[in-house]
Amino acid sequence: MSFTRRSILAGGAAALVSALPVRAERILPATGPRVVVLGGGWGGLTAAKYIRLLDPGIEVVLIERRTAFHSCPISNWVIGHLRTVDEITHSYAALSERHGIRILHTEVEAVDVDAKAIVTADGVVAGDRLILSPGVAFDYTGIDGWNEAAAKRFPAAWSPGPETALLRARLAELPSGGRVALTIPPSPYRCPPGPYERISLVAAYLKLHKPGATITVLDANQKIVSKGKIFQAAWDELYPGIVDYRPDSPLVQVDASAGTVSSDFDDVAADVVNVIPSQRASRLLHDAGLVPDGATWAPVDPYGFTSTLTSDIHIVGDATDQTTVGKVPKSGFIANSMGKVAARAAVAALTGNGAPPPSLINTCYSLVSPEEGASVGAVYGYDPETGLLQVRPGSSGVSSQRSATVALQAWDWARAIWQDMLG
Amino acid sequence: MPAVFALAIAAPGPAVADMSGDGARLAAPCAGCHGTAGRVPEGSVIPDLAGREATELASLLAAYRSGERPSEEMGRIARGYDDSEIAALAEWFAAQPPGNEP
Repeated sequence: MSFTRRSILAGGAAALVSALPVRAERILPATGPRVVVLGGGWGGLTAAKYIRLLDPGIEVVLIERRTAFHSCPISNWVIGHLRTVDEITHSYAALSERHGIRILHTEVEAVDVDAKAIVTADGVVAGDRLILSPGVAFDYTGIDGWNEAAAKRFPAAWSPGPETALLRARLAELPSGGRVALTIPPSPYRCPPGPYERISLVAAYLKLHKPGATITVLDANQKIVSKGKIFQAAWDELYPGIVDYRPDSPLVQVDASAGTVSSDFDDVAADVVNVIPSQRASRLLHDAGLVPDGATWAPVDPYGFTSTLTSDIHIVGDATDQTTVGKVPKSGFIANSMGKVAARAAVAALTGNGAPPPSLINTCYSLVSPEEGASVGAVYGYDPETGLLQVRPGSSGVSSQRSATVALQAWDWARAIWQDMLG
Repeated sequence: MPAVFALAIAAPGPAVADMSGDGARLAAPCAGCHGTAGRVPEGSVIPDLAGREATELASLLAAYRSGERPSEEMGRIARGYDDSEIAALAEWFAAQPPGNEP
């Protein structure tokens, strides 16, 4: 079954991983209580660092394929030519040098739930507890005409990396009067306001550098998912005639050779096309049985972000199921908050103490232009009656209008949270 | 006093005083904007919290919460905490060694 699922979901990537020699022997034997963290993104990094801050007597092994951190938040700014790839790329070195975290850069093949171990191309790393933060997988099923050529022609750029630079470069090559198209998947997906920030920054770039160019958006959702009034006002007032936004328009078909993307109503031909695909929990969680058959996300108890399907394994970040967590967005800030709750719960379990109730914050900053932005956020507590996180009354809110103040704060937010994860 | 305590707890990493109490638990997510232990990166427009007077921090949070002090984000954030939680947050940040993170 796992082979079928892998071949459907992960295609080329799974084939590549399967081709690697997997060594079954245990490596990095533990010298004391140990937590193994899978994934050097927002949830995993935070969990790793905070375990060490909470209890330096607990060993932490962090397993991450990439040798440098690439930030998903702010990657829209790179696509819009406001920041460079270098500015969203950061070193993992301080985590080992300042915090004594053992970092293993290798391909991960599987999660061994029973052994509480991560199976990697370099061998098997076991711990007393696991914290899994593997992020999302992209799912192109149901898009007629999707193939390898389409994947090259219509990059997602929804995980930071080569596709971020590719989309940025394609915008630079766009002729005056050229056409850009962008498609948005059904919610929930990673970073609710992200597609709309991207539309705004692409529009700002077109306005400044590509006279007559336009961006057409096919959104699978009924309306703008986050900060709707702010984004709509910005598009109307700052980019009139540039942004053509079409809600309730799921992507159903692509044609790579013609460069078209289609909903049930429209065919949109464009020079540069960005398909942001549907998302689900990483295939590692599906393969490990940490996502129920037929489900999309991993169920967890938000008190300590432990999987509801096994014991001693925490799952944090975008891969978690909001119906079991509560109505928190799939944001970097929330993943950071989840990492801290999981760290505290893991340390409490390893030291024989009870974990205190979780307390989380979300704040999402978005630019609507190079100079102005808006924010949305809330404080979340734990509701023992429902077993879910709930917004603390009065603490949820969104900017009343776009402002230059928020644009300045947005960059300094990124610097602070990068430091909180990596510094 | 807090600084000596912090070094004993957190060595060899950077100093964070008392990770065990309610203040630390509530304050942890604040680091998403204000940096680990309330120390922002150099030159940030977002203010440092580490080592400031607890009474000052508590009255700022209360003023944000009531709306007396206008804000973009802090009004809604402050409304997420009751009086005792605000006191715990203020005391925890006040106990942190000040300075900039790199």
